[in-house]
Amino acid sequence: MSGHRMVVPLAVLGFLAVGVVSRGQTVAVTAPKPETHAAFDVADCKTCHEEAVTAVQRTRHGGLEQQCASCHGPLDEHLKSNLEKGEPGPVIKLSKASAGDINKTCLGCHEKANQANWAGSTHDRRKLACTSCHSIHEYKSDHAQLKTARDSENCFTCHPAMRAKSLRTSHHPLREGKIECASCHNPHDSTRPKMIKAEWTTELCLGCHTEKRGPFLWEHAPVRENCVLCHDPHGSNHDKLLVAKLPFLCQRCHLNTRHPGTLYDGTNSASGVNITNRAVEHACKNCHQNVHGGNAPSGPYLGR
Amino acid sequence: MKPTLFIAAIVTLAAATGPLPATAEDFQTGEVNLGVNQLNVDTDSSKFLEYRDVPSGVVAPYFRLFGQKGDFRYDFLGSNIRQDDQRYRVKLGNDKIRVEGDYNEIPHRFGNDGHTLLQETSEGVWQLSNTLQGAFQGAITAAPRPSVNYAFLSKLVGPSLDAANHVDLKLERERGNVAVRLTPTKAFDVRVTYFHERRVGDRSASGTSFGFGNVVELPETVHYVTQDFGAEAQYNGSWGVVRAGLHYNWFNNGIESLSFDNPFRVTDSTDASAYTAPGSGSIGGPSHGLMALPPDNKAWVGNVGATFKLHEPTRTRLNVDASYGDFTQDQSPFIPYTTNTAITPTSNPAAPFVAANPANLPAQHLDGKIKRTSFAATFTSRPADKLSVNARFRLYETTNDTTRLSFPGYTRFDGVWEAIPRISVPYDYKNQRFDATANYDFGEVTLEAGYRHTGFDRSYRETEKTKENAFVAAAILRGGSWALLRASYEKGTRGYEGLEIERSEDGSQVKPGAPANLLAIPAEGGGPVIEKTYASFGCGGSPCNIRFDQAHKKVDKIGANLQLTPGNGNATFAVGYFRTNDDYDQSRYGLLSAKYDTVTVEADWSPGEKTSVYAFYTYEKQVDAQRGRQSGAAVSFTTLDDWTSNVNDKTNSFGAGGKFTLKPEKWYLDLFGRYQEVNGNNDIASPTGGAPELARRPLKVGITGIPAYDDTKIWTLNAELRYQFAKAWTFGLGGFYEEYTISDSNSLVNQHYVPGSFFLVANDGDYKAKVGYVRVSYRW
Repeated sequence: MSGHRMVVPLAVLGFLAVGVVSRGQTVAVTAPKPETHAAFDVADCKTCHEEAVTAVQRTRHGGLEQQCASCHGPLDEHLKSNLEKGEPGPVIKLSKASAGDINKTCLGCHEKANQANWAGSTHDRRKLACTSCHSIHEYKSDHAQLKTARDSENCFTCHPAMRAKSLRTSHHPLREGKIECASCHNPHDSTRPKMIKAEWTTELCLGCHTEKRGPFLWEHAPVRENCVLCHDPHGSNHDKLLVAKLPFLCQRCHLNTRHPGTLYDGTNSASGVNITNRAVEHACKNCHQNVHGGNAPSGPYLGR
Repeated sequence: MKPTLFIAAIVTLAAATGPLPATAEDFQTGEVNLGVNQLNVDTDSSKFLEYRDVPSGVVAPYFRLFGQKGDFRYDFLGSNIRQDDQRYRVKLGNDKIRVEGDYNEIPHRFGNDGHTLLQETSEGVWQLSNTLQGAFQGAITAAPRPSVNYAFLSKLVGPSLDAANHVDLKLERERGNVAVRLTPTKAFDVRVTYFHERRVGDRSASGTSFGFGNVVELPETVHYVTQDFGAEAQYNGSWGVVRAGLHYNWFNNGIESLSFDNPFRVTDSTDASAYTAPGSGSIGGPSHGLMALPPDNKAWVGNVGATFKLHEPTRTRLNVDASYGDFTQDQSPFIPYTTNTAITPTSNPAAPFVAANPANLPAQHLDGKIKRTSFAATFTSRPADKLSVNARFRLYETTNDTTRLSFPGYTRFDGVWEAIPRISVPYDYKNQRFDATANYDFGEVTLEAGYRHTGFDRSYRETEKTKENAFVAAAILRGGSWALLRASYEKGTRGYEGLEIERSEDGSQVKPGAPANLLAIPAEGGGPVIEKTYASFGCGGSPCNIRFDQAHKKVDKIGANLQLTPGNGNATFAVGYFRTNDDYDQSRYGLLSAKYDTVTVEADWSPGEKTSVYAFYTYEKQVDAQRGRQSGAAVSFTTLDDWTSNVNDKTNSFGAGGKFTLKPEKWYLDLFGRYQEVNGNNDIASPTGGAPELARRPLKVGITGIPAYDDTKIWTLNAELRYQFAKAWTFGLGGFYEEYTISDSNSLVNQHYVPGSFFLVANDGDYKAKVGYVRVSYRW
């Protein structure tokens, strides 16, 4: 994109920024701001909420200056009423709050690092609350205080097709617990398409598959551009997470004379009457192994 | 160290962390699991242990020790101790400094019991005895040429294959991370990281071939090391966040090349045609081959960014990120054109020099350089109480500065010099993306409308630009606290500019000839044959032979998810539908369409604290259509030679499970089951009288579809009964059953030599596994 064409979207962004800020004075949306309350003893809370308080104390939330009041607001009335009337007084119950209010509470401290760009993210726009995935008092994971032992169980709630794909014969080690959805995605992000944790899909994949990074003497242009043209990282029934089986995947682009354009049907398959090495095992890759790019001077066809 | 000893070490560590907590805030807690597994698997399939380890005997599946003393927090965690899939994590520190370490082993087993005639004599060198090579060569050269066919060769190698080496294809990732995080003030945060990953083992090396008729599949020895050093800093203020980071990542391959013997040659010779060796057409070739393995490479990536809280009442944010990366590959030496010492100007007149001499290469290594820059800006705000707007702009650009290298030719499969000059092609591209959405809350209903533009500029490709514009709409409907519907729809169109279709195939050809790829035939100006070919496409004057990553495309996506939580909220019922349809509406060849539909129904129910159950069912349907044309030496111009492939994969997945407290603080039962069945079919067709059909007449079969294209079934049933016999102690008895079957049209079974190829045929197929275990758990 030439310089002047970049100006248009940037101008739109700038216009929105100026316009919104100047208009926004009339709107009153209370930002969560921790208030300072009279000192109280967390043991008072524990009297009635032992399990919840103990769980919190074993997390970094346990070190918060305002303890329970950090999220539940002023507790004076709540405690006073309990002491005087035997009935708990008013308290902010986040379990009854709207997603927006819950998120404001959490972002009061957490709007930084991975959560710095929660606002406007797809999950924000779909009205998810922090507590849709995280639990302060009853977390099941050994990191990130998730409501489930693994993050995928959370994600599959709204993304069931990904659960089904994860069960495919060719899959990343998600169901074995060796990677997580959050290995590749930042569910709090609003800045990157598909919330991936890299500037570009290919860079994300190359984070683990560094041997394919190159640059190579003989490049394969679509490979350099985008891994998901050929692979489905969420799972596939074809070898190597491919979106289609070889040789048909290659024949989506390579319909050359002689063997690339030739039809390989059931007669040529592993159970066929006329097995050919162009259609079984690695098919095209039996010879063109370096589909991700090759460094052999005699390999312009991505062979060896 | 045995698991039991390891647990003893953990207990010692627990004691060493100090006396029991002295204050109310201090605590120390943990858990140790020990157990015994009994395993029964009916086959040697690698699939059962693909990414895990399930050993028989004593196991230590889990431990964790964590606590706090003063402001010092510690957390030690380990799983699958001393197994191939072991993992350990440690976190130490306080609010000012934190150290985190993680060590994770990830096995990847590709197949067991593969058969090969060759043996690894040193790392990356696969050989077979000269005696055997000589015997095979002698038998082939002595036989009348026409009799050197599959039957002859199969009989020749059969006895040796029966006594072949058996190899398991298995890779292990040993991944370690260390991070030190300094937080001198609440606002400022610095993180220094180091990552080290070693990948060792073998995977299948396809591509080790001596001609289209002499493929020799081998284990590729893997010895990779990847390291990354990073530093990141972040400053938080009431106005927002500013951040910066720098990473240096480098990959080293401990083995630069794979050397492998040619089973059928003990001496080097040239071969006029590398297509058919060692069949009836030719019997020559090299005595051994060499394959360049992935070269060392390096990457520097730096980024700066900031998120500004422009106006808090409207929750207005502007995020800006800029990043620069530098990727190089300039250390690993090139392998020579060939290992075949017979390819000389004397014996192979087309060869300009002794091709096996690396001094004849135009360079000794690549000067590979790719720079990439990215810039992103995101704006979000709620300018009115019920209105929110979001806009994003993103630019990602790669600049491939790799020096172009010209070659006077190349050796084909080490058999013959091909005097076809080639030049390397440093592809690069630029992507721009802009999207904007606006949401408005109408009480119980939120509506969203949006627009997205995605553009690509590409070098050395058949199109200069592609542009995709899409409109999106979404809705959220809330029915009180018991119903929630989220739905979205997207409609987009992609087009292209600057089409020079013949560039799709001749990029690396110094002297391009007539296009040989059906998808590289220009619409006009290519001579009568090409014009006739193009006319046969049947799509008028519009180009309709463009590759699918650039072709004109219509995209439709629809998704809806309804969640119902009736009554007192102890049950949830959900149904979801998602469809994506990529229609390459102007394409006549190549990929024509790809459609994916899925429906999910799921429910969970927790009638009380003692019971919770759930179940799900998902149906998926993937339908892909493509068309090709079979050609001989020149591009065919008759539609009789066309063929079509329509793949239809249907997948049914369901699962159910429950957690039951049979007697509080005594007896617990967990049950879980899951099943997936994929039924794939490739419906293939081609007209009667065309080349594909005529080729099958001697076989007395017609064009044949592939009904068992990629069929799989997997069952998993788990059960665990636990008895809490003391406050801290639990005894568990459990097990799981798994059954896996696969029928894949590409996968051979027990055939290690098929026409033109030696294959390892390592077993990654069916299995039935029964695992029983007991566990003792202690928590404190």
